[in-house]
Amino acid sequence: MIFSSFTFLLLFMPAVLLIHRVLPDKAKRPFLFAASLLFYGWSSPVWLLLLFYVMAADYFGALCLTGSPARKKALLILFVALNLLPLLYFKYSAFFRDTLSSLTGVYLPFDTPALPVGISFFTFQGLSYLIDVYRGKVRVQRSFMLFGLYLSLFPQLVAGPIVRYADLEAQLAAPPRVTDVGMREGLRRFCTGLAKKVLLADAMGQLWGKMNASFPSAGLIGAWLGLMAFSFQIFFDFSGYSDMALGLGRALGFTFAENFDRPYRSLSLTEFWRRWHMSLTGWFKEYVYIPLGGSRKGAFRRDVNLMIVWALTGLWHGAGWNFVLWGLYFGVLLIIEKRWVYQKPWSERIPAFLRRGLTYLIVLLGWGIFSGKNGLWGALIGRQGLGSAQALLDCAGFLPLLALCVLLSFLPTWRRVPEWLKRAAAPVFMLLCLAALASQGYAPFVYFQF
Amino acid sequence: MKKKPVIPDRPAVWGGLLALLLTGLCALCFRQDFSGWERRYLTGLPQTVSLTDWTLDDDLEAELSDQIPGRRQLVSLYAQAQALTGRSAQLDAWPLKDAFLEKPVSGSVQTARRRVEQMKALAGDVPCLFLTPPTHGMLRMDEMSALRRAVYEEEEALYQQLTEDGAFVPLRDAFLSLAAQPSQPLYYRTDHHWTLYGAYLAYRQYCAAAGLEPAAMEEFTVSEYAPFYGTTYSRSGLPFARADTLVCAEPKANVHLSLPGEGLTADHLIFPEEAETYDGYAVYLKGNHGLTEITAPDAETDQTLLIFKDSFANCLIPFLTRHYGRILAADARYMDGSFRDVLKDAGKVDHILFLYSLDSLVNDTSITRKLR
Repeated sequence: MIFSSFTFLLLFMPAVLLIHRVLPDKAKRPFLFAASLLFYGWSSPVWLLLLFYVMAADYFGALCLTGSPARKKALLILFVALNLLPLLYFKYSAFFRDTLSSLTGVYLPFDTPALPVGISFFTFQGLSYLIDVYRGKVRVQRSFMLFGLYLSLFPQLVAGPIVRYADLEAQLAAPPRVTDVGMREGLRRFCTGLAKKVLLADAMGQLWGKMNASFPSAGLIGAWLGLMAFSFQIFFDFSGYSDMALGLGRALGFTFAENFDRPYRSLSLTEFWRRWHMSLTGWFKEYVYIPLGGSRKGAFRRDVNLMIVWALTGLWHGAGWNFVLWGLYFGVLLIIEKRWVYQKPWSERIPAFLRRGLTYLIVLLGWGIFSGKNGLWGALIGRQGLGSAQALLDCAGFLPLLALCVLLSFLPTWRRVPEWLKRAAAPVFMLLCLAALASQGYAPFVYFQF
Repeated sequence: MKKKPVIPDRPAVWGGLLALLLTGLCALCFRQDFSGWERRYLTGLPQTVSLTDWTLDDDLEAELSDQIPGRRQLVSLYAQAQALTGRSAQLDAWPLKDAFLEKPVSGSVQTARRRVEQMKALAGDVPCLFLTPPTHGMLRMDEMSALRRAVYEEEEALYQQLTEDGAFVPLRDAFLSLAAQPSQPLYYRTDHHWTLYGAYLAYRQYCAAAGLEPAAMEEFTVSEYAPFYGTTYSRSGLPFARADTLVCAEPKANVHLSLPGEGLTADHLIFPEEAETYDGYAVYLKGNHGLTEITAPDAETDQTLLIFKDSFANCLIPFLTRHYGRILAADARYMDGSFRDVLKDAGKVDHILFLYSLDSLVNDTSITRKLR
């Protein structure tokens, strides 16, 4: 089930929130666990088996880790491997097969498996739990239901944010705190996120879809505006989803960490990655970069660690060389920036708008690599002219919305919006989103594929 | 101090959530089978659910999307929002002043030419002509923005390349010369079809090409049906439109219509009762059918005209009853068998007319299938 669907908006969400509100505290957690399983199993009930497998592997793994210290490391490796097994099979086996085939000519004859939604997210959540139990940072959760709820909590199950167990441990242990104010604030945030997804991201996706379907006729203008549209599609899609997750969490009495902080306003790439998908970058920092030695072992070792982390970050986003290349692109640029640019006096003297613009341009070209569209680069340098009449007409139609996306992404802040307007906006957003969904059907979230 | 909200938190939350839930439940409980304004059957939930072939999620989503109360208003709201934010080109039909135009036709001229050659080969020795009107958009390019005009210029180029073949009845100049005449518009504002005047103009051009003396409008009984809201208006999703008036011409002479597929016969070509239905354009010949046969005992000749056509022909056929004792009309979208079967079963055929809109001629794959 996806948030921007009628099934969720008109049946699942109101029913779950209302029932959850009136249930006695004792029944709230089991109800939420059952609702989360229904949420996940609704798209394809068979994937519930996979979810239960990951739950069981992590739950029993953590219990085993509390035993003899002598075998702890071996057990951790075993259960991490068990945890990663489905991800490796469902997400990376076809990539491995194709790469092997193109390198050696040996083709392993198996079908490309369908990718279960959200597998990268709940796998990483489970890993964080196992590793934190191993490190003694969190206590082992002895209730399978509560652990299952942590892993499957529907607001963040399929597209993050990647909530670490340490952040939720106390909230799961304490009695649920569901208030009318919390529900109202949460629903308001949910509506804002929904509007970002349905009214902005999907429209930007439409423009990007039109342009990338028509390379090379999209031309110079179509390619640049299309790529910008793609950058806003990804941002509003994913940050919209995060807003919805955080809002639903709030309505259900949970507080999740923020996942985005106006990343396109960043003055540097280092800052960008501190503001974009913060839960993923935080995860890689905590569980990969720091264990590898981080920056403690000299500049060269730090650079190597950064390249490893960024190659993995790319691979996490998708099983394709374009994703790896995208990760390495940022790895190299971040190394250059950290060595010669970041917080250097000369770079600080450059006007902020230029630094923002340059950072956005680099990120934008990164999205070009990410997209994996071959015809894009020729069109970006104007090899096919300015664009066909149809491409220009399409672009012109989307300019007002593109301008709105630029404003929302780059303007300092919109926290100064009067309170009454924020309150009034939520039902208007909801109505417009229902109208959009009725008109255009429903579009899955971009980040579901990761 | 923080101001108190106008609606307290609890009623706001409960009211909002209950409203959503009730909307969803109403969509499931009070369902309709057919949507007149969209001209389509609505989806329904499957009778059985299979775990191995799970489609319930998509089926329920489609059901809710189709059945949501106020669907038409929601679609209109979003269409308006799109138009207001400059995206009217993303609507399924393009608003232009008081009219709703079909999007420009695009496609391969080579493929369309091959199709025309196949049609000529089908006709063999029987004299044949092609009638393809310029589109409404082509006639109104002067009123458009430069970018939109540029797209229609591409459509016009496609049209000209295709119709420069001598077998096509020349229509473009005649249509362009009369396009700006407000009293007798050639196209409906809210529909992609030509009006009676557009059809009559095409008929006169056809007569000139076929060596016939065209009938005067006085030889027909003209009737009007209002209001008429056509397909381009409903496809746009926009809420407001100036209604059209359907104008029909019924031959004063005797005619007999037969729809073999439906087992229906009539002594008239215009069906006023259809004007009240969702598809008002069906007043002409009772809409589209696989095969339509018309006999006109008072015609100038007892010759047979076979028309391979789309819905554009329906409004024009009454004029042709003046000249041909028997008219057979075959519509690829609704008929069984191939065009060759129709030709074989028709017996003696004296003339063939291929009457298709540009879109059908270039893109309708059912024609390709029937030509095999």
